[in-house]
Amino acid sequence: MDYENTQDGALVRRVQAGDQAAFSDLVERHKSKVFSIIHGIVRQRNDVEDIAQQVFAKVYFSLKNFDFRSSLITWIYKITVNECYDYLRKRKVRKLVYESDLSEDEVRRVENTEPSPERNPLIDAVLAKRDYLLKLLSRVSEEERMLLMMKEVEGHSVEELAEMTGMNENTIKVKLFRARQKLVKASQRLDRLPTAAAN
Amino acid sequence: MHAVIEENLEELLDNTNASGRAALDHLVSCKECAMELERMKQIAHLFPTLRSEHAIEPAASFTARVMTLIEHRRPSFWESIFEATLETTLETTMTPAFFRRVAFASLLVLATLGGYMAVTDSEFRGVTPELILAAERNSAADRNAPDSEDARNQDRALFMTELRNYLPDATE
Repeated sequence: MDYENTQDGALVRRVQAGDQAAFSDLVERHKSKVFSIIHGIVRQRNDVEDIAQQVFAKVYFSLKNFDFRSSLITWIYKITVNECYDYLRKRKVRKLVYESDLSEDEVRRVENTEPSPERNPLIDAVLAKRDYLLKLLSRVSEEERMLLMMKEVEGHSVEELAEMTGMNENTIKVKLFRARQKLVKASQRLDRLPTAAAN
Repeated sequence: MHAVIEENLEELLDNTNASGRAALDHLVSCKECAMELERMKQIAHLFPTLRSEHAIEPAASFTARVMTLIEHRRPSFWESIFEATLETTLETTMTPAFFRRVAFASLLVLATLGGYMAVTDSEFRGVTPELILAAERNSAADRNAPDSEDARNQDRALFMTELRNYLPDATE
């Protein structure tokens, strides 16, 4: 696949030549997709825009090294997922620092009052599954994470993934197989799957 | 997991008929593959939780905010000059020929150091371990020799002077 002769490819070439307006067009073209990926992973509506801004800033400053070996959206997808993981890691550290300033009773009280008294058990189950999956996905490489998510979350077929990444179908299959094996091993280490996950 | 399942894994997980008879037959006879596939299916069923059900529409000003952020982060003129120079220098120096020259220079330094040590080593020729031990024994004997009468008197005078400083009537 010749990614250079696509609409995205033409815009990338213009950005690489210093055309700022072309980058605005790229942002316009992909912002909805980036917002949707971020919201799917972090679920914090307020933080989605901040993360998206960081994503596009990263895209801009690394665009000069973009070599058209894959489609632009595959590349943006990878940067977006990595940025989300960075955010989740920072949020975890912030939470730990915050909790270290509280007494055990205070931590218990905060944990019991968050998020709200009228918690929906169905939503809690979905959140537990999501957190569990994010933990599993943190044990695979960035590329494996991206391939798994594009296949399972975005619903792309192996053929589509091959076309988007510039790899052949067999390579995609082998990479997916290895990634899935790693997830199984990680799940065995993380004890059993949540009971709700099996349903 | 056996090759027949590995090759048809994606089709089996997608529940498509493309997986083929051989893979399905194998699953009936191989419990290990069946169990691992089941585990993979369970994990695959977790992925829809990462889908965003409600589309979040970016604000109209989002693109403008991104462009402002980029403008703030853009390196200054001098930073870009430095970056470009560094990049060019690395590109031109970090070649196989450069690493060959570094390896050759290292070998040359090692050879020079080795030669120097071989030459300076001759200064110690004729000094045997027995001679060193004898010299150490002599110096130890000197250290343990009894003090002279004068030295003992001097020590006693010093001790008495210090003792006097601590006596109560000496301070009054």
